[in-house]
Amino acid sequence: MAKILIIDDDDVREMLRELLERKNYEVDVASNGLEGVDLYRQDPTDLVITDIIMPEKDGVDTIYELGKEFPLLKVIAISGGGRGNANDYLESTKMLSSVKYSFTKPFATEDILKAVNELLAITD
Amino acid sequence: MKYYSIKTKGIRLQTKIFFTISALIVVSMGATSYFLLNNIRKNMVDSFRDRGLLLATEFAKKIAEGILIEDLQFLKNSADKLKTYPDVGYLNVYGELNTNLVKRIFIAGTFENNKTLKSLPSSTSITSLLREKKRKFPVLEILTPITYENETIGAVQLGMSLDRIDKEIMNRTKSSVFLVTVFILLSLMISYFLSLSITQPINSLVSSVKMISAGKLSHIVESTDKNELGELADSINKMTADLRNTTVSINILKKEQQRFRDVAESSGDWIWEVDSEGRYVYSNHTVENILGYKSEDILGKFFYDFYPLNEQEAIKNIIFEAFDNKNEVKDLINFGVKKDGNIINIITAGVPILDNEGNMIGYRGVNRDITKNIQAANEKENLQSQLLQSQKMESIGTMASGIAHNFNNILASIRGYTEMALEDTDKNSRTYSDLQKVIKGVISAQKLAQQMLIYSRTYKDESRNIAISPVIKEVLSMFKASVKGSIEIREQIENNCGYVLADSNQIQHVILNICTNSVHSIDKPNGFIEISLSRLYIDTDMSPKHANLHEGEYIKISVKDNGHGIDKDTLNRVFEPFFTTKEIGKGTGLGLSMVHGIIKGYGGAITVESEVGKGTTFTIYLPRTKTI
Repeated sequence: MAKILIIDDDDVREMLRELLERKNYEVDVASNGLEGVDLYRQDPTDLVITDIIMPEKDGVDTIYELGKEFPLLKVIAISGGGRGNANDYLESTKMLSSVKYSFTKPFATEDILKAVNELLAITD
Repeated sequence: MKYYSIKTKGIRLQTKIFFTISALIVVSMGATSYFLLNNIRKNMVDSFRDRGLLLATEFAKKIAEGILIEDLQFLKNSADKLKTYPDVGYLNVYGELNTNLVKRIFIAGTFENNKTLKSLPSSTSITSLLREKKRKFPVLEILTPITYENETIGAVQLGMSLDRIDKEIMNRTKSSVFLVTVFILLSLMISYFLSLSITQPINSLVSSVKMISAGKLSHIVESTDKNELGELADSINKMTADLRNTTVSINILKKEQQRFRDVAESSGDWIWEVDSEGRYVYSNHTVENILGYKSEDILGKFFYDFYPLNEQEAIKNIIFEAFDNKNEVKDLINFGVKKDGNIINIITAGVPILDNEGNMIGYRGVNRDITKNIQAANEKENLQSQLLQSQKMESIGTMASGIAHNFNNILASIRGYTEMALEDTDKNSRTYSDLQKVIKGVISAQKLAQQMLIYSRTYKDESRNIAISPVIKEVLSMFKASVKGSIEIREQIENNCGYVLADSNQIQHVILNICTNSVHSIDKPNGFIEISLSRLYIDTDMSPKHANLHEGEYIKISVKDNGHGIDKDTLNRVFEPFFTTKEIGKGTGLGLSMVHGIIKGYGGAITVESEVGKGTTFTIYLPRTKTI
């Protein structure tokens, strides 16, 4: 069973965990980038879904750092916008090869699942 | 300066004194001599008379018998004898030839024969001086009767010659004339030196005073005299000293006056003085720069004559109160009416002028034209309020973006959980449709959050060079389709207005937003909305009116309606986020704040003008891109 790491600092993290567990994915969660990077190193997952604006270490740094260490990393970036140039951040993550999809909160669960299924199906 | 002449009129003082004294001496000497000689003569005549009388009466007595007996020889001898007496000029003896005839006269004299007397004298008579024609000398004639036994029998007529007296007098006159002449000459010399001694110090005083009056105030009049002239010299010296001091004071005053005048005339301020009734008695020339009147034009006029009519009472109250209380006036901001009728702002400072008794006799002060300062202050205030406004909008924007971020996170959870719940629910159940409504709510909430982000300019726009005319035309066709037929849509769209760097969707969003507001404002028939698009060049002079745009090429989009208009208070707040005049639930209040955020993001500006009951005009300025 494919395993997914969700990095987000708010309630969306728990909602996504339930959504993905319902679809029988194995889910790891971290509440910020620092925690997320540690967890991924200990146990690399098949997919990372990460928020962009986060305390300790933001999404862009997290993706960049993991992307360097793990070239095969696959990421879906999500962001709630706001706070300065958050959308620019989200936009800039598109430049990173590991980011396969990006969504603006609030997204339709359907879209996320579609992306997750697509990304994990390829590896399978 | 006026010099007083000390010269006497015409004749010099010295000459005058000399001639006066000389004349006096001549007249007095002449008169004295005359009276003296006259007196001598009179005395001599008197002694002649006495002698003549004696001779005549004695002779009359001696010859009485001869008359009686008519002894002519005796008479003749007696007469010849008498004639030898000194000073006897002539002698006539009268007598009766016949006893009954008076006029028969014996002529015993040597001079005349056959002279007759009308009657014989009863007593001796002396005739005054006779000047006989034949003789050149005066004669004193004495007629005395010849009596015999108390009967007049004849008369003796004796003429005493006064020749000797005249000669004597003549001699005396000659000597006295000589003496008088000598005396007069001496006197003249004395009077000359006397007049000289009087006038010399006076002359020296005169020349000193002339020097002083010619301006040589350091000159000191020297006089060793202890008389009136000495006192006069002292007085002159004292006066000169006073004059010196006064002149120094006057020179200092003159310098002060000149300094004051220079300062007053070079001042950029209007310096003035009024009398106790408020009439100008002095004004420097700066008034011409400030009011346009020449300083001489305002003299005699009242200060309030140069005030706007509706301000005159107020300024009179203020100024006359200061007059009455002898108060100073400081930083009084007031008005002035220029010659051309324009009203300017003036700041006034003034002080009362008091006489020695402390009475108010006038007021003087300074006026400064502060019209430009006030305009600048107003502009500064406007700029500050604009700055404040934009700062306020930005902070609200920052807050809005923060809210939007959290809002989106919350919405993401709600949506996610709701969608999961929907999955678990029977599609025909009420719960399913209720949950669907939750999703709808989330979506509209999401739109609101998006609008908030647009406002805060964090919404990512797809700006590129777009041709503005087609974009506006497209949105108008869309808009017209949505507007009910009762509102007339007028278009004044210039083709080829050029390009702007913008997101066409956002531009359309902006136009729709404003147009929709216009539709909502039209609450009467015959409503119209006029949309125009044109090019515009904004220079720095126009810029303040256009919300501080830089100089350059712009496109101008305006949306004008004849709706109910916006009142002034509301007008100031229309671009604030969450400010709405619509009923709760009908508007988010984000529309115009978003519009403002979008336009500002493009480096443009949006302004609004409105009049209640007449309508509103929104005008958008967007910088035109130089290249396509």
